[in-house]
Amino acid sequence: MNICKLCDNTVENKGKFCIYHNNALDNLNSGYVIWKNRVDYIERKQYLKTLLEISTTGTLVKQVIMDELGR
Amino acid sequence: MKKSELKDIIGVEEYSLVICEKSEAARKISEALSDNKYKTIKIFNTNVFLVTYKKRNYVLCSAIGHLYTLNLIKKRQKLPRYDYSWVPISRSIKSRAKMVNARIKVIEKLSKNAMEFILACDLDQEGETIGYNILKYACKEKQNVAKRVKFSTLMEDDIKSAFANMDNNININLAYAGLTRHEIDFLYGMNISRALTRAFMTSSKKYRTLSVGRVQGPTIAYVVENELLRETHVPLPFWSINTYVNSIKNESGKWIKIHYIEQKILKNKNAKIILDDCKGEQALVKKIEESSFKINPPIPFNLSGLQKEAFRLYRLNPHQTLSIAEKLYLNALISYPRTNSQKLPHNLDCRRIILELSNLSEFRDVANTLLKEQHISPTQGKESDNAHPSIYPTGKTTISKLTDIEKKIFNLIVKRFLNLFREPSIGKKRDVCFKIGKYDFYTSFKRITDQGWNENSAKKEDMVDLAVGDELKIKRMKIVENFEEPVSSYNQMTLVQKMEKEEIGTKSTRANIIRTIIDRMYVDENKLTPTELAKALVNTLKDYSPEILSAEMTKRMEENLREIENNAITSEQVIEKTKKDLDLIIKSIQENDKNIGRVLIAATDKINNKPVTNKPLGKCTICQEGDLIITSNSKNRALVCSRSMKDKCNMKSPLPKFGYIRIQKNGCIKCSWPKIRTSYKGKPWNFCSNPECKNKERKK
Repeated sequence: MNICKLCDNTVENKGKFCIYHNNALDNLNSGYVIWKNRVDYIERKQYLKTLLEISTTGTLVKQVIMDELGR
Repeated sequence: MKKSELKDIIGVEEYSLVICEKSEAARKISEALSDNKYKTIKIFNTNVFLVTYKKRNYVLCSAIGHLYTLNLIKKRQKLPRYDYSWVPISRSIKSRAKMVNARIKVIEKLSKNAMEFILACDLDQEGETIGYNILKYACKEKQNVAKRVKFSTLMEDDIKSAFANMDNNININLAYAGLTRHEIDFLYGMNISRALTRAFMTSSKKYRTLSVGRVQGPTIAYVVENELLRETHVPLPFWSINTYVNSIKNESGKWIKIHYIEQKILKNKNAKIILDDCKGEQALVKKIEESSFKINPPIPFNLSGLQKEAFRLYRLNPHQTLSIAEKLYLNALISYPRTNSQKLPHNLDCRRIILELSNLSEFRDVANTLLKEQHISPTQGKESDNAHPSIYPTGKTTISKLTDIEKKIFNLIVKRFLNLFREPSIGKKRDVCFKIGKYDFYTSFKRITDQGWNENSAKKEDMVDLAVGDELKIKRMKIVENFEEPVSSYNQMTLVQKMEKEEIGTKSTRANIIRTIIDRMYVDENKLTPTELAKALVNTLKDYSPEILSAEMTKRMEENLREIENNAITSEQVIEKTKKDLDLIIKSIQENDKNIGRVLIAATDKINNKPVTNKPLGKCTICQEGDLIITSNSKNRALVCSRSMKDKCNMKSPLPKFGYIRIQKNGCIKCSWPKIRTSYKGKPWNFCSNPECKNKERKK
């Protein structure tokens, strides 16, 4: 049984994250499509860094971002 | 005690036994029936009141809420368990044993000689259930012969009218619905909690009580799901154009804020284009529309309305508001508070109440103004309740013994009551449309012309006198970037509202359920955010037994209970259905107990091992270097120096489990350890944190 890379919860279907962090990743990905459209274009890395600076970004989303940025 | 002895104590041979829910209610009823000439008798250290009213003797005795509860009959391990019976509450709550046993004994004795039985408990499902059990068990099967008095206030007129028009029977179907509610809750709570506790024990070999009830389950799920929405929130950007204009007609010289027609501009590029196009332009007034508006007086308070307002104004949680309102009711100051109704009774003598309220100095002016009116009629709300009208003041104004917060709640109810009869607040609104280049902007001015009931509304607001064709200079125009906000966290009030909207729990139980999930460490008290345990519980139950978290199931139960009340379905049918549902739930938990247990252990471990590093409470008074912090797990709290974790300071002191903790400026004069201030049962308590302080020894 696999454990989520970011918490102690179990992972389903050989994924990297638990359902909660997966949910955060899904929102992050769908959010990126909307962001790109709204600001014309934004690099993924820049998008992630911007979200880290916004106080209302969810904590699980921030954990996924930190993982992606390798911090 | 022999029959003759009882007669000697009471002093009368023939009497009707009146059963009240609380001692204070019994006293108030006695006062009302006897013009304060009632006799108080002590039997087994319990007050009983003797009243002679219209040449009949009444003995008034009281319960202390529920005297009977459900308990399992046999001792056995196998789940599910459906063997239960009603027993005196003293068997399960030892701390109340003496008091409960005394009450039951008194009622048993008094019932033996009683000619007639009258139920005078609160007029709702709980009141009927409490009374039914007393009549059945303490009075030996008198539930079918007892009469019922119905009243919504403890005022003399109401009580006398209730005794003059009493029903020949108690509402037996309402009692059955109440009993069934308790039985279903007992079966759910006991079976599911035990199944979860065992699942935990199977994996950990440790004991920990894990409780989930019929209403608790969905309530915890709401909090967890809401928090998950917050934690997975990705803020999306949008833009608005912040624009200020000014006119020479504007005497105040204050800039006027105007808004672009689209409040949210969803593309940054579009916002930039608008800004560029508007550069050098003026704001042209294209259209002005004037209208008047009316703000009607508020509607009468029902319980949730009162709780909402008390939370908004005084940050009182729903449980606190209910307790205060009950106290006000028992002091005959207000009508019965556990009501859904937003309607005043049609036959209420409002003029008499207003006249009496005019004795209160802060309401004198409003009350006198209303009394001058020829005709007064209150605003009414939509919701109604078969048993009770909305909450209203009785007209009694002896409030000197109330605490400050109780006075505030009383005043809130009085103010709301008086406002119901007042005129609406009337004002004027002016909507102005502007054109800047090819873009539409707007603003609106509001001005109250007649304050009416709403004294807090601003009477005068700058209403700039503009005319169509006026050109206004743009003072400032800039793009503001905003981000969509996540859903708000629940607070105790919004969670009660959510439960109300989803129709789970009752008006009387919702506040208590929130209290329970806080006490059981499923949610944090201050922010009402879920703990790791709540998240794990919801997570695992979603997989293995989602019915427990489903509001649908509990809603269906509420519907069944209403059907019992209306005699459309029997209690036995509902209990049988519950058993079938429980069979499936318990089977599912038992089949997956190892998986469920593992998830719950992980969550409890997280809670137990989490060092609660709150904000430092101050510098350590021993080493003068480290910070004083509170660490805690599910059972204990301690005050430690941050350097104690590295063994550089020996400051470590156990703390009381509950209550706020404050470090006093100066340390102990004997040992120099930090002195702590906390509260115990509302009273402040100062003590030295050093368990071996010599100062403490001396006091012992």
